[in-house]
Amino acid sequence: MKKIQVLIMVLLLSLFVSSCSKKSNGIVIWHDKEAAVINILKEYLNKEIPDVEVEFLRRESLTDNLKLVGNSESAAPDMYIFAHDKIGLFSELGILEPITSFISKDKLDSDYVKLTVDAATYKNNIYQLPIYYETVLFMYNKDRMSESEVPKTTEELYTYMKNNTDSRRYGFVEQHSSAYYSAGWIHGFNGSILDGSGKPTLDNESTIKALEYHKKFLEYMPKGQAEYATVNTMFYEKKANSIIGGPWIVPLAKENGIDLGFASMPIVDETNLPISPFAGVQGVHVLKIAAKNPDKKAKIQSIIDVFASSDMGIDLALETGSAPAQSAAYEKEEIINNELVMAMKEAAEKAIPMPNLPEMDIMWVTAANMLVAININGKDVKEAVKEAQKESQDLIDAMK
Amino acid sequence: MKKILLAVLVFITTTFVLTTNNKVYAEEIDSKDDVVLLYLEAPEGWDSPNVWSWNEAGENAFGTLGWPGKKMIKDTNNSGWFYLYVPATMEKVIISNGDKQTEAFDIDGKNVWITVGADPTDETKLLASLSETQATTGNLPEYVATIYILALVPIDWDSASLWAWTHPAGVNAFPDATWPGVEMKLLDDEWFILEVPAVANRVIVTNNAKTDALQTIDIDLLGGDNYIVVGEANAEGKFAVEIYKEKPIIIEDGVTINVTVPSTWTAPNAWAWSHPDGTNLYPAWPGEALTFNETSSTWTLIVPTWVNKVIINNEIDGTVVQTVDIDLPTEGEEFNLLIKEANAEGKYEFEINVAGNETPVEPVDPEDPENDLTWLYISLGVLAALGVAVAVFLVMKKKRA
Repeated sequence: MKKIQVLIMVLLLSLFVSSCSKKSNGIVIWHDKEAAVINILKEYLNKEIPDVEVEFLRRESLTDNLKLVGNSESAAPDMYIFAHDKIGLFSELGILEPITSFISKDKLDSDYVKLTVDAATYKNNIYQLPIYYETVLFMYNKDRMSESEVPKTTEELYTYMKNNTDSRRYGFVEQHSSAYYSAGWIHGFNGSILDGSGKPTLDNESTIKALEYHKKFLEYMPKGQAEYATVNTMFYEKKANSIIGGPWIVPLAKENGIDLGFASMPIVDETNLPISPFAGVQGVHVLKIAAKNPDKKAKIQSIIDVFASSDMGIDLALETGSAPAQSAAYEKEEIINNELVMAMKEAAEKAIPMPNLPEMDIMWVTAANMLVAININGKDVKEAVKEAQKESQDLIDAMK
Repeated sequence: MKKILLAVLVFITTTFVLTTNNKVYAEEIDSKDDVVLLYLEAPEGWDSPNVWSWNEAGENAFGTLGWPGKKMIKDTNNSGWFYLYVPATMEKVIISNGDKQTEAFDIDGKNVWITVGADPTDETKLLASLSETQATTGNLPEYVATIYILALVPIDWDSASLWAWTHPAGVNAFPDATWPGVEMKLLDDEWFILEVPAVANRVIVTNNAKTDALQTIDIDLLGGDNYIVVGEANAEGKFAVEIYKEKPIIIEDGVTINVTVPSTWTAPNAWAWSHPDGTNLYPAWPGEALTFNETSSTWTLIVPTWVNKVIINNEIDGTVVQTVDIDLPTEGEEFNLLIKEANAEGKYEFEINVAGNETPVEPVDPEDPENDLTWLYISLGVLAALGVAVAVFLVMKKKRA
């Protein structure tokens, strides 16, 4: 009996120790990326620092979870890989360590594309080691849309949609009621979602104009919610001739036999500005709680050193179709000759970096709700923006 | 991709609301004795009149086509006149031209010559005046019995055409047509349609390419209208087909729900929608009837993957009882749903599992970040277990002392 009791205790203790061991001995990195991306990171880490135990954990609601446990030594990860737009929020929550604790500002300034470092900067601190950057592109199926049909302006796009949409196919689709995608149209009218001081701008005249103008395009798009899977699948299945989509749809589009073309964003006829989507900089962030631990800090340093390898950035860019964050990558032939990567670089540099202010965390939700009200539920634009503006401001006030 | 075809009667929705239901008139009309002629003297500006016709039994002469029905034929021998044969069993007619239409009028199995004029009591309405006296000159036009062939073709096909003939005589149903046949018209629901002389009993659907047209195998028609779903090409490069007498509902990326209902529920319906945007699957409450599966003794419901909430309901003694809102699991293609007892509010509770899983799957709210904290709960569980272990150790130590 005594032996059994001891055995149970040993078992429980070993379970406890094993659950903590990843935290105490190794480095835990949360992410929301595809396996192919993480495999490249693992490959480099295994090769360069095989003695450092690194565990990658995919978290679907990564940023929401970080809000809950980012200060918990036992529950928080040590690092995470995500876009730059939550930097302000997490900085204000006090859970982020400036990345300059591991890599000098001078090196970041000299080795990295400027927009990536700018995007990672909040209140004069740099919180992210950029890896690659991306935006959405105008993509089309060359079998369905000839080069001469590629719309140069939004009115040309509208005419194309009108002439090429029937009950079997759509001329063009997009995630029209997501703030990330709608932002391109709003910027094309000189509008915005949030200004530089963190004030919501949903009710400004330019934003309203953009939302009102965009409504006519909905007539030739699928009715109802145009969410990620639906819109992308329509393109993969050749039920949509063109799409505004991210590089992440490229592998499946090619797998489905689509001869993919990339084009510049159409110019808004009224403003002469292109549809200008958000750009996102994907990179690695370090949690303050991990950086406080000297043992972990050393390991994190070795990981950051590997992530700063330009070859890894190139491999990731080629895998994801995004643009490497390190300037040196653009001297490599495999990058220069890659149509998608170079199109991405050009597009991202014309795009507007997502605001990294904490207020943006609220705007993603309120702007999306407003877009659903307008685009799906048919609410009057002025009424919807007025309500959304008030709701956004109230929530922002409550957060301070 | 999971593609599911369900053969059901077609209910074509139109902008026009009828008091009768829209059941399709599918009876074959072979003889001139079974049809009546509608002759219309078109009002000024009417260049493309259509006939919509039905009877009190709920049969619709052109339900397959949807509103505004079948286009009338221009009579080249009588300027300004259009005609159309309709089944003699039809009782009501509306003739329309674009956004103009007559009020519904009665017919009673006889040929009629129709003129249209404004209602003297309400100028916004158009009334039809009928005469059984021939108002046109010459012989009445020949009646040719026809059927409708509808085809759903691969997305790679830009168009569709039909080659039709009588087998084994080998007489072309469209004498003037050349390969690849007569172009079919695209409807609003992805189906192509063509009216074909009823003498045809074999057809081929093609992609209407002028050279090297892609084509199906030879298709033996069923009686009446035919719905052809074109599938994959076989080894010879000819496309296989599935053929139906009734229009199949096709759900791409569907999930199957096997529903076990209380013994008092004998005709359950499902109401299904997408939360939070509120897109409904069915046009009206109480939704679609479930199908009983004799083998499993459960009721089957198939819904598209975008549906994430359902309610099962059943009318008992004139009152509709229903479940609470049921969240569908986010993973899996087949679920087993057990309707349990009613709660205090009178709504029935439920248990849902992914088929093959013994453990009930808790519905997941993707917006709730806590759903991704399983690891945290496990850790807390281990910590609790550790506490127990330490307590056991202390008790043992105390006993030893």
